[in-house]
Amino acid sequence: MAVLMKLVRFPLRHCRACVRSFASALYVTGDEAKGMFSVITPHIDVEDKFKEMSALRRNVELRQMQVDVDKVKSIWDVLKSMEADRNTLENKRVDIAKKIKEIKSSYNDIKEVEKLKLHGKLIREDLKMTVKAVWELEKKVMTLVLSLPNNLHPDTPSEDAKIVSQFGNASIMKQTESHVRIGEKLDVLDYFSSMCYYLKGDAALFELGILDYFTGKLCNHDFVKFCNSDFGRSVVVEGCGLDHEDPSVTYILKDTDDILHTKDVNRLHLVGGASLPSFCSFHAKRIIPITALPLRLVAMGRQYKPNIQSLEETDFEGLFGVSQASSVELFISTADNLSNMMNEFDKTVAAVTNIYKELGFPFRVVYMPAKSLRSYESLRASFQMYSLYLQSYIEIGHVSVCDDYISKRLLIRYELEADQKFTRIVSGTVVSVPRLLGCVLELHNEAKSFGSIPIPQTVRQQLF
Amino acid sequence: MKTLSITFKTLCYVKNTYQYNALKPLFTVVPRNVPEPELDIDYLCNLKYKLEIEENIKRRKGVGNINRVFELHRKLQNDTLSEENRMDLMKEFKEAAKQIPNKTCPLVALYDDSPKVVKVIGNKTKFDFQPKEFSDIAKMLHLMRTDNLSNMSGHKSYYFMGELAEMEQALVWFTVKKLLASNFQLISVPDILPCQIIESCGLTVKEDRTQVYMLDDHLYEGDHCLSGTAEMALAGYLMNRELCVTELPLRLAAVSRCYRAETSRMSEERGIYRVHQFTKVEMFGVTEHDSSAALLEEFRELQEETFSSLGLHLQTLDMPPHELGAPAFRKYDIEAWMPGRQMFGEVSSCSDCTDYQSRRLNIKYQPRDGGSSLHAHTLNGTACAVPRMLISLLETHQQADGIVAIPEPLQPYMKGKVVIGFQDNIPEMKFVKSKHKKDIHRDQD
Repeated sequence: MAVLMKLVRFPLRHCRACVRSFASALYVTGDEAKGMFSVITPHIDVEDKFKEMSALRRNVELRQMQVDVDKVKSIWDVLKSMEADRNTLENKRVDIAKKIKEIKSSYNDIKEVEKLKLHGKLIREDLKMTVKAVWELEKKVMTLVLSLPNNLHPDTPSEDAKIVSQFGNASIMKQTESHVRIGEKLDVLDYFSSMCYYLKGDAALFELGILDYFTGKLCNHDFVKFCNSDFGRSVVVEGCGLDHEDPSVTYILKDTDDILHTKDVNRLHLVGGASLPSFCSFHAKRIIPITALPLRLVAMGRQYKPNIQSLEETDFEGLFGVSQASSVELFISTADNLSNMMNEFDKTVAAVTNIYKELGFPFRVVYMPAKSLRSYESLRASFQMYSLYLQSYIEIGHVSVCDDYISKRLLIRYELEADQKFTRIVSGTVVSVPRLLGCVLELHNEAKSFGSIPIPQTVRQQLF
Repeated sequence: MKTLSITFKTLCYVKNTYQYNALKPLFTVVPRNVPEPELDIDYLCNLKYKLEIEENIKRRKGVGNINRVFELHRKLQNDTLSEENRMDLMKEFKEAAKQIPNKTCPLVALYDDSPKVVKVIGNKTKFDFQPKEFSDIAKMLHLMRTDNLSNMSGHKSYYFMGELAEMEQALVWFTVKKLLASNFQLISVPDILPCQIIESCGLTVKEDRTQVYMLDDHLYEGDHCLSGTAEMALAGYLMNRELCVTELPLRLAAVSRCYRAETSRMSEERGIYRVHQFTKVEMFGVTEHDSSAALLEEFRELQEETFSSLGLHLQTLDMPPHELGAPAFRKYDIEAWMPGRQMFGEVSSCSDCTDYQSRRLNIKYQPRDGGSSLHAHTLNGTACAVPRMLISLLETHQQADGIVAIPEPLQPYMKGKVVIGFQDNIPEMKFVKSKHKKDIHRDQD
């Protein structure tokens, strides 16, 4: 059902039928554990969620997700009772085995031993069936449980986006032609399709310069620069709360002998170095010493997304809907303290707001409503510019509160004395260059050349 | 400062060129269909040249069957063929003819099986201590992570941390600025290309030991490959274009992420010497049909100048026929000395492809004196392949106390820093194989 909804909402130009096989790469059941290497055992804390059913129901409703949480809870309860049955059977088996041993070693009544052995055999068969049934149910339940979203932050608006700050107002300007036309006229852009576009001359320099500018400014705020890997396995993609089987969420690579080291479920995805899964691959299953927190990392590079959700459901998106974007991505790990994390979030939003302010183009910062949040986000501050062609706001960058949702799934922890706790994460894409470029071109559609577009001196010095 | 003012002048020149171009549409509207190759049938199917083509194939990698080409060509001369038969034969003929490799430069054909050292720059650094290998330096200074990543981000993946990541960016900027000052135009290119374009550049995609990653063709319509070098995207950009002779020689540069599936178990290629993804600055040239040799020399000199200014000890090799890929007429490889490994490692190459790619991608130009358009000649070269450069730089500039000196030309791009030391702002993280502690206790209940 969820897949059909997605197919309707985002026209997939490059996609044949998506076969949904409901196989989790993250949670591997016992029967498969023999044939498949279980990379990670995620920490499932859904019991706590089920204690507050009304909050969970409201969460799913506001996010407009097609999940029946009551059904999930009831299946979970069935699983728990089956597990209890299995445990009882297991205990009985152990008991009988003990008794047999006792009898054998003391008075050795052969008839009694035979009776017990028969009983034991029946119990073992029962147990075998129950264990199998538990595994089957586990597969179904865990996939459902893992698809439950993160909690909603109290600051997340329920209905409409909430404007946090605004600098300049471009929405009053009149509509222009699309940035693709403008770019072609200035001879800085050749757009063939969402998978193929070329930036030329000054626009190519703009791309390099913007990446450098944003990264440099963040490094002044104690961020450490990283150069990340561009591939991610299904385990990590699912760990980030994304659908690892949906080809419209991440690019899935063809399996070849060289890249297939585990069985089918853990495939290779092209995510790009400047992306959330790439940072998560680095942190998964690792323990950070508390003295290093908050650990602020920034990376610049590519970000690949087969389908970008636009704010307005229009057919033509140009640079706003391209699959390859040069971006700057940040990732902050904080200690298990809500105020710590929110402090980092506020500081980062303020820092990024300042960077955009210095850039000089009109923009605004909004908190996105629940229905626009991704599964792993509990609060999202979106940096948006106005597209004069589409007559709507386009998100250029964002900073999100992920809390401990991802860290529990991928076991990202920190150590305080002997205790290990899950980190709380703030992540975000600071800037996505094609989107910024598209809005800038439309804002300055009268410019005679790209170089004549007013970019402040500080940035220009960095660019040229 | 001087470099900046030169770059500014170059940029003004570049800007002016683009303003001029914006007024007069230079390139015609380009269809995105990979064209049918226009091969040199007069040469390939001429009995006079058959022996030399056969010789060439033998000395090259042995791919290509000129006898088959001749046979099919002869069959096609038969007028009594049915339409269907003719079409099938034509298809087969084109496939066979496409596989014939490019000619070999006559100077190079004289070499036997080993490359000829054409130039040597600098000397091996004298160390008064045992020089360490890149991976040891990176481990000691906490600059890179490669362990326990296979199950998360793929085989042989790596992360550069802190100042090593800054050095990668510094190398890219340094190289780009140098290219801009040498009349190159910067283009930003796509990394996912239709397989057809990659094949037209001379790389086979569907073989077993393929070098190319592909998108799952059950999920995505059409055959899409991840490009192994910006050369392919740039060739794709020029596909089906008719250039004006005043624009030649055309020099294009691109910074891109390159994806290569090839693996190597050779111990010389350990560490980040051969990886599956890396950043590269690529040069691409287009010339008239008789000027590609001159531009090849220009590319080579530019590479030698760039690398030697970073303090590296280099040797330039003119590659023998069996080392040339199908499209190459002549290829230079530049190797840099890696003191930690005690070997020369290839850091760049540049190839003259004459009209091999342009015949397959329909890249033509209108000659000066009018007449019908001719196939252009294309060239490509690596301006900077980051991982190998970093290996060579760190191993060459390492100091006794373990820190690494930053070569002068890169210092302005690293905020004026002079050395790379231990990255104390990046914590040592423990890798834990087993479950979360609380989960272990729960299971034991």
